[in-house]
Amino acid sequence: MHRRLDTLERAQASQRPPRPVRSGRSVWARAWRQRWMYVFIVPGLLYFVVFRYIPLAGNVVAFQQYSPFLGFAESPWVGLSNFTAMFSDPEVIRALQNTLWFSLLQIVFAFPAPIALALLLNSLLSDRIKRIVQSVVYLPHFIGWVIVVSLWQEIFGGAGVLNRMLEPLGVGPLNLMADPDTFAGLITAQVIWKEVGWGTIIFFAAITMISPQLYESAAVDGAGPWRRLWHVTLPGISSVIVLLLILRLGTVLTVGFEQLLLQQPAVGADAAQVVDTFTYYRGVLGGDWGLAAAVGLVKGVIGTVLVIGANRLAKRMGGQGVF
Amino acid sequence: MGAARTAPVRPAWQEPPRRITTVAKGVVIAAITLVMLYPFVYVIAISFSAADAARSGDTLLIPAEFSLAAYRTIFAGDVVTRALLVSAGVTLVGTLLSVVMTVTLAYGLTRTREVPGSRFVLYLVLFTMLFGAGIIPNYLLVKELGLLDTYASLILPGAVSAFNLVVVRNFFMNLPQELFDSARIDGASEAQILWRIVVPLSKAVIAVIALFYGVAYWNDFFNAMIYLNDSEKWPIQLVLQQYVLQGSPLDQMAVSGQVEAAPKTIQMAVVVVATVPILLVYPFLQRFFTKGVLTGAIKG
Amino acid sequence: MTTSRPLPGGGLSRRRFLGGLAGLGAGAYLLSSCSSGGSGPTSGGTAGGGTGFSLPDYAAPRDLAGATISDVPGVLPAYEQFPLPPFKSVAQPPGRGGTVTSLHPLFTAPPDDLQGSEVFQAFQRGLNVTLEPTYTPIGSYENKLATVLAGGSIPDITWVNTETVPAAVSYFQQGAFADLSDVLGGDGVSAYPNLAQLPSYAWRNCAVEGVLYGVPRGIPLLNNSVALYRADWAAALGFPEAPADAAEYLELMTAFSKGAPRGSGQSWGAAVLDAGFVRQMFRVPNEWRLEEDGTLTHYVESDEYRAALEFHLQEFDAGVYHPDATMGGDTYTRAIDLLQSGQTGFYAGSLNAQFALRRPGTLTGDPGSDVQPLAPPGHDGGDPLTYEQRGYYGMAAISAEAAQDDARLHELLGIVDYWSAPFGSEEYVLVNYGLEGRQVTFEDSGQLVPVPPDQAPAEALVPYLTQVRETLFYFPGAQADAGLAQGAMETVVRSSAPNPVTGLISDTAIRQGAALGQLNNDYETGIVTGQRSLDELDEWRDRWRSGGGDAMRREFQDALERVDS
Repeated sequence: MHRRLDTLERAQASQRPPRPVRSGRSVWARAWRQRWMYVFIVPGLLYFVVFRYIPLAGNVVAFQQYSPFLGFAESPWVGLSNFTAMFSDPEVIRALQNTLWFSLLQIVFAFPAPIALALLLNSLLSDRIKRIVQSVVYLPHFIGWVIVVSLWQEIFGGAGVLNRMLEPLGVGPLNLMADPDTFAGLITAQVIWKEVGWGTIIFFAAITMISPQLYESAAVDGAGPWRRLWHVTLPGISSVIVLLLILRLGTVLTVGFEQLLLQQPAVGADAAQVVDTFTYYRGVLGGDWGLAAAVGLVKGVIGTVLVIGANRLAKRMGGQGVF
Repeated sequence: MGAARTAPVRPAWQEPPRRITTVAKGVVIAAITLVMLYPFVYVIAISFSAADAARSGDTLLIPAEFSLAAYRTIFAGDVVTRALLVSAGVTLVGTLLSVVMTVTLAYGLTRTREVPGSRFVLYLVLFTMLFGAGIIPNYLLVKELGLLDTYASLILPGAVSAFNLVVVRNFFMNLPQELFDSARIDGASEAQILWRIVVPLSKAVIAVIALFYGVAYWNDFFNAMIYLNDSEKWPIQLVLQQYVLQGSPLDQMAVSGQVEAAPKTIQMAVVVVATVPILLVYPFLQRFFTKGVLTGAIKG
Repeated sequence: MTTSRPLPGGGLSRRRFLGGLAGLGAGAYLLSSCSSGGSGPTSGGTAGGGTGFSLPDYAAPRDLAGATISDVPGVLPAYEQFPLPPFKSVAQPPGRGGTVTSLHPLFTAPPDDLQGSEVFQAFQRGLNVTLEPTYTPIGSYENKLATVLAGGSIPDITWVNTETVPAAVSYFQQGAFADLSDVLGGDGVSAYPNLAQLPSYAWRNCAVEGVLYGVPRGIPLLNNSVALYRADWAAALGFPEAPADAAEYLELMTAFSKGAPRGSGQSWGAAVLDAGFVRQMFRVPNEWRLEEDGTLTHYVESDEYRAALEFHLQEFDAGVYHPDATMGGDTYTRAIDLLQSGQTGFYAGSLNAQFALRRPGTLTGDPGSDVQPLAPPGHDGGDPLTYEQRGYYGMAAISAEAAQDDARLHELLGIVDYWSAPFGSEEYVLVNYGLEGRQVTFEDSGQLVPVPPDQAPAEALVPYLTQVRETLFYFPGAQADAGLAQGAMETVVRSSAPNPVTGLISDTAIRQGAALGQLNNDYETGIVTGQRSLDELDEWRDRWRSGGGDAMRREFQDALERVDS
């Protein structure tokens, strides 16, 4: 009897707001009751400590003028000068602006695209067509950026297919690949093309978790396809959407490094410089490990603030959040 | 069986589709499919073209002049064949290990209110998504662990992805709580709950992260480049990268009097060789994306 | 604070990303070499800014039949035939039977099984050591080198290029690799006869602050001055002679684009911006120019450069450039593809390698094609200003730890000596091509003919290190091209000038160099393509000066004064 009550309590606890910690029982006693859970946790925890946390100590180079040959112990300490070097560079402002602008476009357009596509495919009746289309749309994910850019060039470039088709019409030539004004749109379109299919996979998995009974009862209540989408499907996958969105905010200062580096020469740094390419030119190319580490730390701090803020917001709005 | 599948199965409660909707959807989906598929068709066509035909731009849908020269160049010697085997092995073993570790840890972190310290572990994991280490500290760690020049160095450093872990945990948290309750009442241990209830109900998300891990292992070249000195252990992506990123050895190697075959056909053949094996995995995982896994579970 | 900062730069390893930027000029002021004296392979004397070591005494190559040694200093020898049988250049195997580790760049697919390679086995026998090479993709070389150094186990022999890995300068200064100044300087090099034949300019330029840290892999001192053009198109379009000034050059390039040289199908002058060629035509400073009052002028600030930009604009407006000319990515492959498929009439590549494009059948579907070398004319019909470059592509550095033992150092240098075997020797055949009957055949006519790649056994060859193949002209199957290439090189060497800050180190150049290179590249592309107006040149110069250009000038001028005093 006692056992049963306890399990019920626990089950309900996870769905209710937290209760004050039961001070009656010691932490150790509670931990012992959950020992199985620690069996699950410890190997993974060990992994993270060894392979992720030990190397993290290497970030001390952000305060050093680090040389791999001299090592962490011998390299001179330079205080905060790597950080001041970063923030005193006028280019960094432009890089930040571009990064945030590209990120915003991607969050607004590239993030919802897979959701829309997944919902569209989900509404198909034929399983076979659904499977075929699924298998096709995720193909571009596997093509590296070097090839993607050259394929786009062959279609949208100055000597590309598009211009050859426009020529008889007396339009153009348009060089969409080299126009700084439309560059942000270009790279967002590329990201959507490359990743939209791949992105659907996770939402398909989420859709499988929705009980068909919900659809059935909604239909019985007279809800049409749109209302079922709105009231059943979307709420069913909303926690994944929120989760991915929060995690995406954590990487808001990271936008396709290789994609941009490859296409920067044509449109110039004013249009295409982002934080990562800035680090590359100012830090990495010169073997300036300290500056690169400093940029990484700043990005991490900003990402942390955004993730915590978004998580809090998600919870306030009644969602589950990440943690 | 195949014939039975072609007829769309419409649940009784669902209204028959309207013609106009069907047509609209069909058009949109056909357009999307075409846009996604064509580049791949083009890549394949170029890879099977003669070098001259590829340069001239005549190959658009089918090779203007069929040739296996690019593949012959790539598969000359055993290098690519061996690298494919290495990658297959690393991907298989790595994915298995990663999935097991991710699923167990994710389950271990589902009840942060009741398991003391587990919330802290979750924070630790999330932190690694935001802060990373450079290549040198990672290299030193792998060296200290004695993993340099081993296949383990291609697996262990990336064995658990915080992103995948958080995704799996999210799915686990959304499973109906009543299932766990009744299992616990029946005296099931946590291991049994994980194995008998959570895993079967989460096949879809496990398939997803297996795919994510598999593709990550398959596509990785950086770890191999840093951790492996013995080029005979190189995985396929590192080998093939040499064909794509360097245009041609002509400029640097200056092999006077020798010009290598057209880089473009080889580059495209590289894309095909590097992606087709991993693409073949998807159809096998697709069957886990079936709707309604929870139907029986809740009723039972 | 930043005195031993590593040097940045857009090295060749960045080619895949930076494309055109990497070709000529970019990062040239970042060179870590020391310049003084003449540029010929036979010029001796002291190298380095004040603290220099004595240049290794130069030994002339063996007198070979069919050889043409130019009397113009700095011009590579030309060989019309290969001496058969090849002579021996290494009397005794240099090794002592132990193991030697090494680190090499990889430009191609990785080698097949080393132990199964007859070439590699023959090489090990010739060296009398067990060689354990590590191969690293050239694009990731700086990462690999950094981790290897951080890990503390530096290979016995390491290929290091301060152009590919600018930070290597600081590794040198911190003592990771052995100082070879005394061992190889002066007549010290006579203990290694093959090394004594390496061109003096390569030794001089590869020294870091007057200290020698490795054996250079020599390449032509003027590697990006001679270009190629379609002489058959030019003749058909009414240009039987090579252009003699900028106006004629523009007419020719315009005709390539608009004159329908291939009958049907679109064609262009150049696949990428011909920036280096045009700058030399307009006598734009070789990165910097030392004025008579001792001040330095950067090329961006020069009037000549404005004229060059105006000329580029004319070319752009005339449709000379392929529409993707400013795109990044793999510009090298693109440029070769367009020339080979007969879509462009002009190609500027590296001196030695580009002659392979002249081989019959290389230009597809056009058996009558005639590709000829083209030296930049002076824009006004006078002389151009051609650019002396580094003249080496990386060097073989010896681990400082291994070099503590004199006998071991001698052994390792002997191994590098084998790698540097001169033209005509059997060791040259082995390290550059492979084995007779497998990778090459000798013809009775006195030719070494490489077996086509698809017919040769797929086996590992000798790793890339200090092979001397790029320090001479020899084109089997097109013997006469050696003389043609040599003639073209003589033309451009006559009007050449070095970069005055070669060998001087500026902190600002180190820290801001890559970013300033990116700025210059952006403005140049923007102005040439009309996205920016030429009026923005002043704004550009201001941004360049305030972004580090002025500081760089000050530091270089100070360094020049130090060296002079």
